Amino acid sequence: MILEPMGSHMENFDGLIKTLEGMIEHRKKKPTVPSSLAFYESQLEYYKEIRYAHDQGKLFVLHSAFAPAEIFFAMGLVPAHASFSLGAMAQVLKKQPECLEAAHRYGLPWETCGAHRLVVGAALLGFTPHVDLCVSYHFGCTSAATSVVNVAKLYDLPIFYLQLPYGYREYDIRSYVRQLELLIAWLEKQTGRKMDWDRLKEAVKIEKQIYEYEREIEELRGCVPSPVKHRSFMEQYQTDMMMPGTPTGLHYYKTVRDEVKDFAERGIHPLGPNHKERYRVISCFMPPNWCRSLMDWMEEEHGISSVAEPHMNEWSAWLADRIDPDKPLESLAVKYQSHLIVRQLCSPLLINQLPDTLKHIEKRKADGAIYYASVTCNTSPHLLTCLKNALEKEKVPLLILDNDVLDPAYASESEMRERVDAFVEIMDVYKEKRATEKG
Amino acid sequence: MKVAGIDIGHHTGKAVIIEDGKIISQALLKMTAKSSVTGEKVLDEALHSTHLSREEIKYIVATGHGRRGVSIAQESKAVVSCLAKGGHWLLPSARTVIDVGAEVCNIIELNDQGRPVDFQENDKCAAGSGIFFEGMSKFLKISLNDMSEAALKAENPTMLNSQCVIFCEQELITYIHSKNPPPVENLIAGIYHALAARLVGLARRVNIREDLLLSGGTARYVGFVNALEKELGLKLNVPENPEMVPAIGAALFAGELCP
Repeated sequence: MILEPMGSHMENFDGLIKTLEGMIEHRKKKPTVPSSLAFYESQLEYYKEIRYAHDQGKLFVLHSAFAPAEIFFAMGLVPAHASFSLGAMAQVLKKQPECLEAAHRYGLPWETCGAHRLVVGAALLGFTPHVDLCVSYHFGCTSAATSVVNVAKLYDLPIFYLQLPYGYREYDIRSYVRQLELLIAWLEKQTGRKMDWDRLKEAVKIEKQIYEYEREIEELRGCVPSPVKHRSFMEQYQTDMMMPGTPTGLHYYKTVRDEVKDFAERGIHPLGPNHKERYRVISCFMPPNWCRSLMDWMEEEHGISSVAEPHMNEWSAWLADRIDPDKPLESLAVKYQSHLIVRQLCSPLLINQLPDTLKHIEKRKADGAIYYASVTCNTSPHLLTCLKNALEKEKVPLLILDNDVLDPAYASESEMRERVDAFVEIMDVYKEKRATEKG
Repeated sequence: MKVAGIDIGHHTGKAVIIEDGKIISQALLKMTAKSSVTGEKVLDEALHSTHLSREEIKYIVATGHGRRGVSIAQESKAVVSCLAKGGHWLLPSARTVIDVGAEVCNIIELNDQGRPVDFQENDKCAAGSGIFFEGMSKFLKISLNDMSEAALKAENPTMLNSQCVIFCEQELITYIHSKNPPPVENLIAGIYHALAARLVGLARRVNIREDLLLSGGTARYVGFVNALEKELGLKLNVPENPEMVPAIGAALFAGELCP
């Protein structure tokens, strides 16, 4: 059967909002850490904005990863980060298999990254409100860009293509600023609205504050035991991707900062004073989004804390100093061109990925590293052997967990747990080896 | 003191009973639907031959993909850990264990104390594991043992390029129906070389050091062992009961963990 686009079915979105409300209620009744509640509250607010955008006379923009959402917020548009918002929705509503199947029937091969197959599948099944505009960002991850292109084609929507310049010279930043100007001009023409520059400056100011918080969080992560819950980095990353430069995002980050500071000052792990931290690992690239429970299990079963994520969050210290609210476009160009995932995908390993990873070994007292190698990613896993060899020289073992970020078909949670179980013994061997060498 | 190790694999369950550092009994059974049932049955089978009762076994450790379902075990251990332990016990000079089971293949680097320092597992594809041979055996209508014997007579193994069991079958069909079909022994040797080549790619991701121990049911097929030795350029040591290595490792852990 050839699948035709099904338009927009709000019951899915209403179902998502209801489920999130239930999750928040549950967390209020059975509190864990404050940031967990703040995370779900911010998600609810984000999805409500999307759900009621048209009722409030606002236009809805579907954008690919790393498109500058601050610009949409500043223009009074309602943005949705395609892979995170649709991916999370399918997951929360347990409709992943349906969406992946729909994308397959549409003609996307199984070998395409699950996150982006899911975007197309969810759009085909009418999981979003009617999309008004699409913005696609072309960089190393070609799937991210093309999934939004597919949605635009399906529903015959206007689309703007942002192209990442491959480099970090001043010329590249100027070129990117020019593209942002063209994006704003296009949005103004499409929407009949003018850019609110004061609002954009305010968004960049908020973003600067967010990175200041992140810098504080990162500085505290050297503490033993870790003052950060293992899965927290995924929530931080998701918030940064979905709601940059917003008061909601700022509130979430402030909650995380306060929480981490509190745990660090009290010298306890977020799971409580009796929790025993046995291993500290560096998490490389992106863990499978469909099984964050793997991270909870690692923490509870083996006492594994994630103490650094060199390809996801740890760029704030560098970035906070480079953001200037009075130069909003330049600031956004620097931010989006230097994002760690972008840096990793688009720049040579030896310049960025290796040093970004190795610098944490001493500083964060890491016992090992876990690389989440997405088997459907056409850019991330190629240089794994170089990374493995470099870590080996530093006497740090590397576990490679093959997976797909949103499709469980490639590696089940039990398979990944089995590998983690084996890796724990390897970390023990390395620990003993390091201790013997130190005398 | 008697202790036991139970390995619940994809196709079979294995049990080993050890007393004072010596194997006193072992058993192998086809898997049933439930890991817990297979675990109990295979242990009972091992107990039966030595006239022991379950109560006499002081500690049981389970391993394998179904290890968490073995309710009679006091502890469970990752299969990589058990392969390392069992492999080192059988061959103390082993620095690499290659285990090719029915559906999973592991390559483990060991340190001088026999502890794992690195490992690689095959990706999700039957072409990287023993089930590949079963598929080909059914297709060629030759038993697995006869396949192994036939491969030894091959003069020029046929090159099979496919990375997938289904495509490999199609490739074989093309060869069989070609104008000058290659002798069947060349095709069989080609099948063994195809799996060996995949394993070598995986093995290169760890630091392969001699001595090498080959375990898993596929190690019983001499044709495959030869093909793998040729692809690796290294000699492989095959224990007497190659499929029992993880269960031996689990039993050794049981001896250490028993309070």
